Amino acid sequence: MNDLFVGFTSLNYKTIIMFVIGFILIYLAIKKNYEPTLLLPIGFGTILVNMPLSVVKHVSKVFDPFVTNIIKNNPDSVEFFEKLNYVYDSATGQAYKVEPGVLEILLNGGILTELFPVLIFVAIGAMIDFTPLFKNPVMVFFGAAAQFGIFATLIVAVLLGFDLKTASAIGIIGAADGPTAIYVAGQFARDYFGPISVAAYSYMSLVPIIQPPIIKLLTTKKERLIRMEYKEEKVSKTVKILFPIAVTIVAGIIAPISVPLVGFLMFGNLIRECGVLERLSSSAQNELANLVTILLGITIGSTMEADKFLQPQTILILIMGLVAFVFDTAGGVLFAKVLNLFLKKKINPMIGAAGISAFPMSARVVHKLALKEDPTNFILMQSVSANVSGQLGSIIAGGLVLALVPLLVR
Amino acid sequence: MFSIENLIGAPDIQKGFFVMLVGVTGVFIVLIIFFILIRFLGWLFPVKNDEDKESNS
Repeated sequence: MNDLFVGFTSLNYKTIIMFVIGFILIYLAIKKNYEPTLLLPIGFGTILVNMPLSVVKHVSKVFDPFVTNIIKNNPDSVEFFEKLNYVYDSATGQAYKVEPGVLEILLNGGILTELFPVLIFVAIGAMIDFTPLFKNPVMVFFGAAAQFGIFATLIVAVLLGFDLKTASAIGIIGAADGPTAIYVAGQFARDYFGPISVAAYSYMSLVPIIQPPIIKLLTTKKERLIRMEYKEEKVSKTVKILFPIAVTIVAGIIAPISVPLVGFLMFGNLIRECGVLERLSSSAQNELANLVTILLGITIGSTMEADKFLQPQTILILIMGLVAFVFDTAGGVLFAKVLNLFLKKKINPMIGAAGISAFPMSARVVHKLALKEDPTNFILMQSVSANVSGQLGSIIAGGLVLALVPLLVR
Repeated sequence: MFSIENLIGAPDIQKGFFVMLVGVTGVFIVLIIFFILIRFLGWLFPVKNDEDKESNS
């Protein structure tokens, strides 16, 4: 009789909390329009994976007496069998063969292999127009300065007790670049995949709320009123075509491990700029982006199982994500202020805040703040240039973290 | 002399500061290279007159 009502008997308070979290994510996506393309699938994936018996994750669980016996005689072999889709119940001392369900297949094939993030990079590359950066290349330095938050948060996370790999993955939330955060978390912090992804995408949509108070806190009214001359440099089509190829080669030589990140982003950009692949460019920007986003979102949701998600570390990660955004914004603004000490023609330090990867939100926020101070002060083009360079800076920072951390943790 | 090998047994906080130092410097160096690259490509392939007209139209 119990088997008939297994759905009811499997429910517990943790499952209910996860349903509520899934519902909140869906609510934020629909009602508040916070990154709906990802938060909605993540929210629904969270509900799916926490259903009784979690059939979407594991289709069946069959007792295997042979493997049970091997593990009994050799307890160290548990890890080996876990990789072969076995689950060992230490309480009963029994091993079970698990048949993966659809979400587990998507997780193994799409995220743990890094396939989905890399495909998303192709789509993003096809969407990015580097022209504002070519027209105002000095702004590239703000894309570098605003990555400071990644590394500062890494230190804070280590101080809070996270190991170096997990701390690096948490710091990357500050890149304001969802796919990079997912990519690094997939390599360094698979246990915290859910909270890191949710934090990365939630805070990205909260840029208009997070950045203005920090900018105002770090700048004076006089600084916010600084006008900037805009000299537009013309860019040839050849430069636009050669840039993604050259960037891939340079990044690949400096940090070979960053090639999947930089290379696929630049591949998408080359498709866009070459001028002879209109259909492919359009497909990458629309069909590919939409399809992978659906699968990526629901698969991230599948990592949010109650036992893994409902831990004190999850709250710490969500707080650290916010800290990372604050440090990033502060890094960019303070860098501009330091530059102003040496420059004759002063820079409006608010531009520094646009050096994060959240495009074009961050540029818009800075532009709006400038207009609020002085309705005739237009710094949109400079902000967009800094914002585009932030997109480059974030993947370079991600690549460097991927290259450096494994050298130190062996 | 300093080597990464010396850091392997070090506490995580020390490693973290190393990643921070090399990471921030590394991002700046790579983006400075990109800046030079943009300038160099712009110098090597200036806008042709017909491209200019096209972009103005």
